[in-house]
Amino acid sequence: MREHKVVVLGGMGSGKSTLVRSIAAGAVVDTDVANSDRAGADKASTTVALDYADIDLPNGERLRLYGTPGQQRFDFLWPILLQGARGAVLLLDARRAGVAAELDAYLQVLRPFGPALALVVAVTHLDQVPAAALDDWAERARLDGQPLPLLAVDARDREQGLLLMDVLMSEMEAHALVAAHG
Amino acid sequence: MARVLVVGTDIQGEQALLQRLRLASALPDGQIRRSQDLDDCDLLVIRDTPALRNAALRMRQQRPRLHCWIEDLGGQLREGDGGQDVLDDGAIGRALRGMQTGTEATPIRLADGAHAITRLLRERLPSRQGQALLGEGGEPLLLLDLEQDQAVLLHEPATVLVERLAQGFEHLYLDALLPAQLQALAGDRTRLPLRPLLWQWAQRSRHWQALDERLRGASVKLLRWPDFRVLGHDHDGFRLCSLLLKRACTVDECAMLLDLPAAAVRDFIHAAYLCGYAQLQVAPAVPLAGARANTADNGLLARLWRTLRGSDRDA
Repeated sequence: MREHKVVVLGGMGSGKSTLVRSIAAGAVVDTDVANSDRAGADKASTTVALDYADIDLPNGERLRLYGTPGQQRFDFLWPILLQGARGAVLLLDARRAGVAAELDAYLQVLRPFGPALALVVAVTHLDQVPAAALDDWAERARLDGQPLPLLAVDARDREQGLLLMDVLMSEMEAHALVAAHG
Repeated sequence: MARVLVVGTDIQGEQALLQRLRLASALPDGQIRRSQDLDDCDLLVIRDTPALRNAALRMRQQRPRLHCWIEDLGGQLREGDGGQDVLDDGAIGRALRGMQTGTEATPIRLADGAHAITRLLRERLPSRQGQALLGEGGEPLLLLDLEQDQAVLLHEPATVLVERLAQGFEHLYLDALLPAQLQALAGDRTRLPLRPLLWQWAQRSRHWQALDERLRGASVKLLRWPDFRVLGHDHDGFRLCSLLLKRACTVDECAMLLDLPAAAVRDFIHAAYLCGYAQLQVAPAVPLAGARANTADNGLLARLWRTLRGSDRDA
């Protein structure tokens, strides 16, 4: 049985666990513990290893969703998780200061995985930041000059999570078509 | 009309600067005129040399209503009153449009008919320049604030208006507005995002014969991801965007690669073209290469996902 890996990245409190749970309709394994870094994100619990969910595909294959821990001290895990991944979703928390710099830093991590990795950027908590510079971030969201899709998402809303996956799948398909046909 | 007297160091430089002002003004041809007479101009632009600065200072003292800008050696413009802020194209455009207040009593027609309106919107949307009124047969229908990317409906409901714009595209016209005029006409009406409205209008219109003719010999490339409010939940729209951002394709290539009807591809391109997201390129003479081996995996996953989503929706 073949498995396809999709990794969800993002800072602490950006909504990775919530998104994985939404997309998988709640069927997840998580490793949340009490949050000891309330300065990083003001929430009661946080992921220390990873979130994981399975989605069965119609031909018996499986889509595996991995949510990375958001704390900086676990950043060594990101490249390991990205190995062999078909796609990645990068979540940016609109409430945080320096969203643009955070986006740049993540793109730096993702750059070595190059054209083999389909990528979508999603901005969360936008309802709390009405004047967010979404257009500026969208302009910045490029990998090797190629514009990346950047959209606003409420990670709690399953439909929005699935829509995000639709966009990611479109990117995967386009990567494959360009690789196949030049 | 705004009359501009440019005093530079060479004619070519003066002409280039005047052309830049014309583009930044977002006004129709002829509305920024070169003047040779200091007493018959609204704006004096001088090259930044000590002699010209002193001369300009004297001229302004004698003509208090004369605007004066200074162009530095790098081509940047600043107010002649000593302000240090560089005037970007937005500020230049606003100032030039402001200078023609009172000189024009009748509205300035920017574009007439589908072709001219399409051309104008494609130019102005990416540079976010100007305000305009869209009308048909003397009846105002829609206000367009291109700077803010917003629209104000003068006819409700939106669905009926969009249908009217789509059907009457050939008979529509665009008039230039000043910001204050737009504000006065808009009153308390709700401002809506402009591009989703344009997108729907373009998709519903059947007045695309000229573009369709060009598409027979052209590939289409997308320049950026459209605003997701424009795309809504249109999964095939996502697929077309992803493909056309990575590779310029003809309508037939898109239809073949994504297994979509050519008419659906054309509808998407019409909308992307009107909104300034798409550009045409000469189609390569070489047909699409056959699929290389071992590259279909991600395509398969995307197909499986679509099947899963389809059965989700049907459930």
